Amino acid sequence: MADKKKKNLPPDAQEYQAFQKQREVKRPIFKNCIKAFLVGGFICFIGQIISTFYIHFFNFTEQTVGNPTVATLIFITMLLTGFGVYDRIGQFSGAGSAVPVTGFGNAVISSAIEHRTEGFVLGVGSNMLKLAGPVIVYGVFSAFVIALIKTILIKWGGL
Amino acid sequence: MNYYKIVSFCLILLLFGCGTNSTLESSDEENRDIELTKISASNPTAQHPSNQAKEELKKYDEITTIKAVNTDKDLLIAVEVHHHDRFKLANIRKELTKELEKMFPEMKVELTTDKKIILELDQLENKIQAESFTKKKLEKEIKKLIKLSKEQT
Amino acid sequence: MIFFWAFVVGGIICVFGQIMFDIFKLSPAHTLSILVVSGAILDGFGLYEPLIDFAGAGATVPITSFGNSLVHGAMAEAEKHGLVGVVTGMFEVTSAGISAAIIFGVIGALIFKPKG
Repeated sequence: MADKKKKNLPPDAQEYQAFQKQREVKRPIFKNCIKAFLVGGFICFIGQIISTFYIHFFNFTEQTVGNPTVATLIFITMLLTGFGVYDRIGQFSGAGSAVPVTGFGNAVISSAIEHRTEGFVLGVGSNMLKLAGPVIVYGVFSAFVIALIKTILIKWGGL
Repeated sequence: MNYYKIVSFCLILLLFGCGTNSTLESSDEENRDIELTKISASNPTAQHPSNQAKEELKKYDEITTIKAVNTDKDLLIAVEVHHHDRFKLANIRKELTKELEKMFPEMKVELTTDKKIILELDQLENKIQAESFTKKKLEKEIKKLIKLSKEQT
Repeated sequence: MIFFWAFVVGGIICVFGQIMFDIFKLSPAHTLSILVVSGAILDGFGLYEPLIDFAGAGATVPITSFGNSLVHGAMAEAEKHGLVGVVTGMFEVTSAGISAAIIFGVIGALIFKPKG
């Protein structure tokens, strides 16, 4: 995190902050956003193709097709991650490959592969959920708070 | 800090305001391109309610496709809407169901907008036209489709 | 039509993520957590379901749909069992993402070799 509050730092540190800001590599924000849009949109497009395929040829409805679509996408991610392709896509597209559920899968799978040398329990098992951990924790907690508020409002307000 | 508070307050107001109630537009244009097939009356279970429902729903501008099949007690209808109307899909479902329940008070009306049910009902309608179904067989098929439309996972 | 909107809406959500990366300089863990919470909040206001109806996979593939599914599961259970349902019902509707990621993670660790 680079948003340090300048007022709280001693003069030397402030000078260093200014120096660091000067030397920092400038990020081409607009170009990155375009790349993220294209790759992220493409992954969702593939997801839509998979969903439509499942709806037409299997017994899934629009309501239930989300689960097999996500599972299929993560399976494809496993192959891409195992062969090192997903990292290259990630370098190119940034958030475009991190935000869809494939990015979540890649984080879990690549940690699992990387820490295999440390053993299955202490290596793979402990490190798999390093990125997934906060996502699950805050997802569940925020859903809890929101569902709680909504349920209370419905019961005592007839919302 | 103040700036962020104002921005987030405005955002929350906006989100609350986004739940609007819309009503469906209905027109009496008879020469519209709408995909539906009427099932002939030579059937063990008369498809009059289904044909009636299709006529009624044809009036709504939003709808592009209607498929309906009924047994003695159940009426299963699947509709498709223009893509830009899909934002209000939940509303459209509610309003159409109310309309149809008023029209057929003695039947149990199931309205769905699911693509899968549209595909299945299309096949079922064609089968009914081609060969005549016994009451029991039709009931079984309809029950199966209604169960499919209610699945959550 | 839905393919076009899946592409556009999915892309827009990823652009939000990219903005959090580049302008607010957040880490991936922060960004994904914020997106999941946003998905949950949007579903609290009843805005995420219409987005799914409109954009299909463009709204169900990004990680925001995970927050949406959790709220759905909690609300569905709360309707049946009251407040307790909010705690117990969360993973009823969704587990595909997490289960698949963990299962394929272990399989991946078994099959693939880590690269230097």
